[in-house]
Formats: sequence, C-alpha cells, structure tokens
Amino acid sequence: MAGGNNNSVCEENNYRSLYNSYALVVRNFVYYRCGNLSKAEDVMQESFIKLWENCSVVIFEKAKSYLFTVANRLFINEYNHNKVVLSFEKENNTQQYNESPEFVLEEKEFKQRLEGAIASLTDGQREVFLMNRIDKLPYKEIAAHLGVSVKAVEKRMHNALLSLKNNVEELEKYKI
Amino acid sequence: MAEEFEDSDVLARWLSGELSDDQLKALQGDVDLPQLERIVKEVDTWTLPSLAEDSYDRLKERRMKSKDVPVIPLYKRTAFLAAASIVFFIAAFSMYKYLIGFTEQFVTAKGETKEVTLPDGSIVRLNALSSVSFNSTQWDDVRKVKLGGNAYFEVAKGKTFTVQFDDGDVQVLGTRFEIITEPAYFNVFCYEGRVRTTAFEFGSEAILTANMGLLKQTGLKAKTYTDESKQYLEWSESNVDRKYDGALLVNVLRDLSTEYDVEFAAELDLNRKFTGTFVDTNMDLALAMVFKPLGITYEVTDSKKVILHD
Repeated sequence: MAGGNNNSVCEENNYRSLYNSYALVVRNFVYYRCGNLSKAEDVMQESFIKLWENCSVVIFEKAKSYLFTVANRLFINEYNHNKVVLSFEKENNTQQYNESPEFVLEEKEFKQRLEGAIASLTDGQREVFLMNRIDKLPYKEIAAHLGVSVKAVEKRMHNALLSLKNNVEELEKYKI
Repeated sequence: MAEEFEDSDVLARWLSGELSDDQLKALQGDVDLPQLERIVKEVDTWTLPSLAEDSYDRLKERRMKSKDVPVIPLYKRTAFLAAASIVFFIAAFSMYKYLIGFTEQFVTAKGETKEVTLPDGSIVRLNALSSVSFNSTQWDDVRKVKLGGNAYFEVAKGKTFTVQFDDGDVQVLGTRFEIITEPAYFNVFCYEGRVRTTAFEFGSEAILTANMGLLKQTGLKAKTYTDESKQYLEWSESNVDRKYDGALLVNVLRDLSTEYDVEFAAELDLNRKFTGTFVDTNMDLALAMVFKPLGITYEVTDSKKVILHD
C-alpha cells in the first residue's frame, strides 16, 4: 500500500510536486495572519516537514488540506496575536512611466490607505479576501482550506468588501 | 443602506460575476460599485515575493535534521489492518453522529480570541477565557448555543436563536449582540434588532432594542440601560494593544487578569467606562494606570488577588 504506490507522498517526486503547487499558497495564508514573511515561510516549511513525517498515512489527494490544517495549528500554537499590518509589492507596470508625478503619488497614497483598511479587517475577512485576490483562489477552494462552508466564505468576502470601501472612504476624508 | 445588506453575500457574488443583470441593477442602486472596482483593481496588481530559489533545498535540509524519519509499513497486512480499523471507526463515528448528535465546542485560552462560524453562517466571536458549544447535527431544528464567558454574536436570519448560560437564556431572531457572563457580573448588549432575555427574572422577561443593554451584578438589582456610544467589539480590537476608549471596566479587568494572572474582587459598578492604557511590563504600574484616573482604591493581597473599593 503506502510506499509502493505511485501516488504515495513518500515518493520524492510526488512530494516535490506538492511543494511546487502549494508552498506559496500556504506561505501566503500564514502571512495574512501574522504579517511576517520569514515567520510565514518557517511555518510553511514546518507543515511540509510534518507532511513528510506522516507521508505514509496522508494520501496524495488529501495532502493539500493536511498542509493547511497543520499550518493553521502550528500558527495558533506559536503566535501571539498582534494587529497584523501587511505590505505588498506592486506588479511592474510599464504604463506608470507615462503618468504624471501627481498621479503616481495619488496611486501610492491609495495603496497605503488600502493597506490600512485591510489591516482593520477581521482575521477571517482578511484571509478570505486576500486568498481570493492575491492567490486567485475561488471561494470553493478557500472554503475547503479553511474548513468552512462556501456560504461562510462568501459572507466574509461580502463584509470584507463593504468594510474596505467604508474604511477607504473614511481615510480619504482625512487626506491632506 | 438596507439592513439585509449588512448580512449578505451579494458583493462576493458580484465580484465572482455570478449576479444576473437584474440583481446587478438592483445592486447599483445600493452601493458605490465604481469605488469597489477601484479597490479590487488596485489589490489585483499586488503581489507577494515568491519563495527563495533555495527554498526547497532548505526544506530538505531541515527534513533530514528532523528526528522523525517517515515510517513505511513493513507488511501490507499492517496497512490493511490500519485501513480496516479506520473504516470501522469512521463508520462507528458517523452512526454515533447520526443517532445521538454531535456537540462541537470551542474554547479560548488567556489572551486568545476566536471566531466561530455556526452551520447557518452565524458568527460568534469569543473573547479570552470563554467557551461556546452547539449541536451541529440538530442545528437545522434547533438553533441553540451554550455560552460561558464573553462573546459577540452576529446571527443570521432564520428561526429563533437561543443562547443558554448558567443563569438564564437570550433569544433572538437575527441580529447583532454581545453577552458577558461572569460569576459576579452579567451584561447583554444589543447592537441591532431585538433581543429577548429571561435572565434573572427581570419581571418575566426583558426585551432589548438597539443600543440597549441589561446589567446584573451580584448584590444589585438587574437594570436596563441605553448607551448610544458603546463601541462595537471594543475588546476584539483593543485588547491587542491595551488601549481603551470608553471601554467597560469589566473588560479592562479581564485584560488585566489575563496579562498578570491576578483575580479581582470588586464592590463597585463594573459598568463604568475607562479611557486610557496600561503597560504590560509592570503590574503595579499597570494597576495605577487604570485605577488612579477612575478614583478607585485597590490593595493587592499576596494570593494574587486585587481588592477594589470606590
């Protein structure tokens, strides 16, 4: 059974392909909660080590949700909750060179306001919103990762959007 | 904005392009879609750094060092037995679940908060040292949870939703409210909708509307009060950096006791407001920072107990 099977997680090739597919998504998922990239990468690797240790009992198809479950648990064990402020890079956008300096500044401010608004979302809203927008995961997949219903994911998404809009508008008011 | 709009999923379905033309038209009247589009468009240009190139090699190194090497069963027989017993337990478990029902419980430790999503999408946010349990199999018939400690509820519309605790229960149809239940202090506060409570034989029952609360402290009569300024979920934000802006004293005490592992004995009104902060390094200083401005005298006994007087 385990070990000899072509689909076994214990096979280096299979294990590596899981890493190639999910390492980044798991790392990002942890990042959305702790706001620390190197910590997030650490937790992600730790989950893959746990997967390796249990490779004879975890079947290939379930490996993905196993990774999320372990990452989630490791994270809860280790992490002392602080307000999470995330920062993102912007994709290289060649168009930007044609824009006026005022426009570039405005865009930069908007990004900062939005990052502030994201920081004030609840953990649940933030991870759903970012997994959908940054990792491009559909609601169904997010629901599977978090172990909640699709409905719950949609509600969190709805509330996240609503809250972002209100917060951005609020911050806009205080713009210099 | 319509009340239902707060507790919906329409924007999620808008974003994933699942709305019909009619629904879209209706939505356009309710919300500033261009602004939302601008937000989404901006976030969609954001990325996070990719993993380092040697990331996998480092993982392999760590894997070597980790003491548990994968155990590959020697005999297929063992694997078969393992599989058979797993199947047996799953079968037994689902029978149990089907026949008797399955109670799920969530508990928070000191300094921890947790968000629990109930089967119908209702949300419970647990403050530290609290617990909530419910029967997920019978949920469609009875929406009922048991609560200990402090929690905030966002209840999805539907059948009567009941929160039970030691001294009574609270019933609602679909609304937002918060309950604090501690040995010497009980407080339920309604942010939206209507809340009915039968706690403490307050008459026969009390009905609370938005911005109304019911307070009961040991030795005092239960009373209702209104508070327009009460902040939504003051603890879920503020207990992180210990800054308070008109927070209930009872919540500040809870944070203090979490931080310094002390108990409080109070003979005063715990529903008063505190604005300020306290340090997390020195207990004496922290106590002074909270109680001096409020004019409360306090003494610390050697058994990690703090006694408060007006």
